[in-house]
Amino acid sequence: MDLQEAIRMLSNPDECERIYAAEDIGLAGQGEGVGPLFERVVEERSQAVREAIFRALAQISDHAVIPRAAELLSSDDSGLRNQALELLQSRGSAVVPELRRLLSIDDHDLRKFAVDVLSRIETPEIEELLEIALGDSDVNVAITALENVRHCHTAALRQAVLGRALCGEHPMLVLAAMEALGRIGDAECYRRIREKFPTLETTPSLYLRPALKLVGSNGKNGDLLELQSLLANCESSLRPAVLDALRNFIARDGAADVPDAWWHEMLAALPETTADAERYQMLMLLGHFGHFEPVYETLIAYLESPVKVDRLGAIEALSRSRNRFEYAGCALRSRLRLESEPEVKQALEDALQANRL
Amino acid sequence: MSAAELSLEQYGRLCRLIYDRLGLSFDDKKIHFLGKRVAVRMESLQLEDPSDYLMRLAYRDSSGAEMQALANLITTNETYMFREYEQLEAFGNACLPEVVARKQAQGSRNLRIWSAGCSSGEETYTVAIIVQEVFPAIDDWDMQIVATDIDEQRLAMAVSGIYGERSMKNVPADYLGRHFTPQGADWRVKPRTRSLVTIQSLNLHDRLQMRKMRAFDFIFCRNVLIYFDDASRKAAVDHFYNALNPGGFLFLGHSESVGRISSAFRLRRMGEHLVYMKPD
Repeated sequence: MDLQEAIRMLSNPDECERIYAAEDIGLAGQGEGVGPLFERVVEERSQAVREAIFRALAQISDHAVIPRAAELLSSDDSGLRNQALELLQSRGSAVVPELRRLLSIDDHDLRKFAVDVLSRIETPEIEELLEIALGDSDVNVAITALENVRHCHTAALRQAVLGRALCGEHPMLVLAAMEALGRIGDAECYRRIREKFPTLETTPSLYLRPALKLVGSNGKNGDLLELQSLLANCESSLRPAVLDALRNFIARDGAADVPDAWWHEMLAALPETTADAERYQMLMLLGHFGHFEPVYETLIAYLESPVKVDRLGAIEALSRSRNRFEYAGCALRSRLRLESEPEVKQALEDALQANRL
Repeated sequence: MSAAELSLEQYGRLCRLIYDRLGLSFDDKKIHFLGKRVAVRMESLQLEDPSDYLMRLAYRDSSGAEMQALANLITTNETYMFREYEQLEAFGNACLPEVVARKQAQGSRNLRIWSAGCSSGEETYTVAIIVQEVFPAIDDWDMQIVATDIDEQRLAMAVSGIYGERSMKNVPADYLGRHFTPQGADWRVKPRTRSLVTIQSLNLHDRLQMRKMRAFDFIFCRNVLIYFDDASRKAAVDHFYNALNPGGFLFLGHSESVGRISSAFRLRRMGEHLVYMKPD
């Protein structure tokens, strides 16, 4: 089918023919198809045809697609808006001049959409554009920008984000800034946030999770006892965040300075922990303390657990306790003879092979 | 290889990502399983920090290629008769009677079913058995089940209609005698059931071939699209939409959601189950 014929077929009464027409226009990839596709999509009632039109537009590289898609961001039809947003995201850095224009206009919804588009594109200008959005007078625009700072893993905006965390007026804005710092924060951010919230115990619960991330990524040895005390006394819903903070701390600085109270606390908590993933995480963390006899014995005991994920956690933990592994090897080999679960057998074989036993 | 040391927060994010993109649900018990697969992908991409991998998966995978690579590690290619039985119950007990009643009211005695990505034919023959069991009058109808796949070797197995123990493990005992004949340690599909099925080669990515597939009342494409990238998945579902009659039903795998791929279908509750229908 030639392009003109396909354009004509866009208004065919048969839904299926309209879908095929859109598909053919997209495959032709010519700028001439852009206008007719946009004109059709705002009139089109069939969701299937609309989707085919947006897929066709994504295939046409003509620049005219970008301003026409940006116009649809003002549509009252949320379906059209969302599809236009995805279309703009698919254009990559070519969309940046349009985003710059959108960020400077009065309509805060359009400014927020511009930041949404920004979240999925890679461009060297991302930091400059996000900085504009971070300073936006509208809370939702600024929060969306903060979420993108976190996703983009960009460190250049630390000071601007820290400013929002320390001085933001809206609690959700402060929370978004704290979450962003949990990813991109450095020692200075950690120090300033700790000045604002001197103890974890008195940190407002809304901000406790991001504060724990910051401790995990930048905390000092002195924080470890405070963390351990929190694990012993916090609500069960917060425990994964506390364990993650310890895990991140150990990944950064090793386990040598972690106080013994930590493994005592985990050994006590392990049998009462009902969430499988949390128990697995604890067993993995205990692997760092496998040179302590009570920990080692517990890990060996968990090799016999009736719960598969516990056995897997114990195997991984023992595999990482290299200084005790030659002893653990016997237990792992005897477990291998009894084990019937293929996944656990594989983990045992991997552990024995990795440690050449 | 050891499992990647995912934090609990990272594990939660990974599960949500996989669910949003692939429709596959993983619970807490799978933390080691996913950690192992993530470790394989991290090694392949030369990444050391799970957070970098998650960042890539969530925000730097516009083509869906990395999610696809992970999907290949976390899914199994297993197929057997009467797989995902509850969905088949919805088909046999609710959807099929509705379509048959509508056709009868229209004076039509024609029923067409497409088993897309049929592999070695287990699903196709399962559907053929169910239709005969719940609607014995089908003998008086013009009934066709079209089974397609791109893999010629698998199609040859479907043509032979001979299945071993693994394929047959879920076949109800009373169906065995009615629809199969023992052949050594295996079972062969009986000619009557076999005659309902037309087997042909078809590539779901070939738009011209796909446009020829029309006028179906049911399409089964279960656990196939999870191996496609985002664009191909959407294109295939578009073709399924065109290939269905109004009021026809599309069945993907129980963990796959049509709604995540296309909003053109109507979600309906049929008994205990949710099914996707092309609007009348």
